[in-house]
Amino acid sequence: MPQSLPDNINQTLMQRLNPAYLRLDATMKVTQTSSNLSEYGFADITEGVDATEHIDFLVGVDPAQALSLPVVASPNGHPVCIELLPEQGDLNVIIADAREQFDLQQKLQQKANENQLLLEKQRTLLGELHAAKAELARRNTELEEASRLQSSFLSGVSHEFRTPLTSILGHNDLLRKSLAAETRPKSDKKQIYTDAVRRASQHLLSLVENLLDHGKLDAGEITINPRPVQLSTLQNDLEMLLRPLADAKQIDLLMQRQYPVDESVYIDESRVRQCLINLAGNAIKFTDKGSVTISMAHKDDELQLRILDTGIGIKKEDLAKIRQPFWQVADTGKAGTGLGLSITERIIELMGGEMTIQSEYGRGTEVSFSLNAPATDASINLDQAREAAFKDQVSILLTEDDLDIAQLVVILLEEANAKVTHVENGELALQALQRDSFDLVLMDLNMPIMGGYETIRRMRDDGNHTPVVIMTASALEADMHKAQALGCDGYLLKPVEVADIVAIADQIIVPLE
Amino acid sequence: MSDRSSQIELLQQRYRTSLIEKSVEIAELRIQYESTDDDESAALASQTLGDFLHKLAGSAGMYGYTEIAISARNIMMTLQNDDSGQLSAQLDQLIAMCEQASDGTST
Repeated sequence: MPQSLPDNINQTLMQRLNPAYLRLDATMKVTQTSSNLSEYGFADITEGVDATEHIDFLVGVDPAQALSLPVVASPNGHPVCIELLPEQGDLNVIIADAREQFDLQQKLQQKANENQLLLEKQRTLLGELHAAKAELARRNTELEEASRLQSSFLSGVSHEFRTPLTSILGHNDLLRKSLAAETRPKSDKKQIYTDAVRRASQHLLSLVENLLDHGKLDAGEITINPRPVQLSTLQNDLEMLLRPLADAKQIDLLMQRQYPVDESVYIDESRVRQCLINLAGNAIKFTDKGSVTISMAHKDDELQLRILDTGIGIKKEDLAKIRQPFWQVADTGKAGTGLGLSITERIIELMGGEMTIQSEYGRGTEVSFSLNAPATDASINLDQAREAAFKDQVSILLTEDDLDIAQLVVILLEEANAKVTHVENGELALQALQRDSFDLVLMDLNMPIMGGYETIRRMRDDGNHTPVVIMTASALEADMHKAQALGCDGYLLKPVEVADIVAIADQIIVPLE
Repeated sequence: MSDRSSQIELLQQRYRTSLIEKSVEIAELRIQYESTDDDESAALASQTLGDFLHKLAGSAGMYGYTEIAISARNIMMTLQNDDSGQLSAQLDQLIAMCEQASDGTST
């Protein structure tokens, strides 16, 4: 370090500290003073005076002990630092300007005080935040509980309503059936009354179903299960269902179709149907003249659905509100829960679509939504049957009393290269087996006149060893054992797939040489 | 569309429509079952209801109404276990499912 630097530092420090000096003897009498002592308010200090009488901080000081007094007030109020330095029985007293240090200390202290205040404030705010969070959590829990209770209540009440309603509908249908079978005078209005009961009950039931769906949507219990659906079938069904409603109001129901006649797509048929019935039902409800159009278009795996009506329309200020659950347009005189549209929109969203509503008050409304709907084959069952087909044609005796099942299985098996003879009970099966020979017998168990087990027993007793495969809806272990004991060759549980029949038949049919 | 496709479509439509009749029949069989006052008629009513459910379980499954088929099978088990408390609620549910499936609001 160059010599000039310490000198400069020394000079700077001396200027800033402006040290004053006095020397005291052992009796604390002043023996020497610096000229700048008066700058610190020590004007009375002259040589020979007793320093302890004029300078407070020297009272009681041991002149033989060195001592530092950081920042004390001088007589004129300046903050000063005091250094007491004993030297050969005397005491040197150095008084230095401490305003900078004092200011710094003051600032630091102020900062510390401010920090302390901020800390206190922070603690208070944190406390309030914790309290608010706890309150929020408590309210959330209360809200969740209230929502759960509401859903539970709605579901409970809906279920309780549905049970007797179903019973009313069931018994009313029985009554209608028995009335239809009677010969009654034209003036007899019983049929009209039962029709009215049915309509009212069905309306109530649909309201209850809406409430149940609302609860299920809240609980996330509704799932979407796409399956192959033929669009023309879906639209025909809708027309069949909605036509009477439109006719009753003397309005036109128009169907627009923009897809190949045998187009099939993957969608959740029941949910799409539910949405369309809801929307088209609303359209019919709020249209008193003109028409309701249901438009269905399928292009590039997208199904575009549109319900257009010439009804009363929706006021601009009501457009957003109608999507809210339980909200209903006032003064329309139309009954409902106010849930249909909300449920429909939520189901459409669950299916990945978005519902759009455009309406002009007094002119009509258009509701539309699009769904991802990949195209599939028109007759998937038949394709499966074709794929699983028997290599060589086989003759099959189908013994099944349920015509719903029998007719379907016959078509599917014929598509799979089988020649099928169908009989409705075991007795007829035995007769058929006496007349013709078959490669395979498909046997239902539970049939009138003669059941499956009895038929198989008699077949075997008669020496007929045509392979038999049981088809039943019962998975009970006892049935399996019984079937095996009787010498059955296979056992299929309904619903059966043609591929299963072909697979099992391939294993057990011995080709004739 | 081939003839067989049309036939299948017709069968499917017919089966869906028939589900409302089936729901009424279940309600009727249920009344018979619940109104029996001796063991013999109770056993007969149980058997009749069980047979009907057995058929429904088979046919509903064939036509893709899996939930109805499962429900019918479950009720058959309940009937076997003679659990009348559970039976009532299950039958309610099955009747409702058939009605919904028939009017196309559910499967």
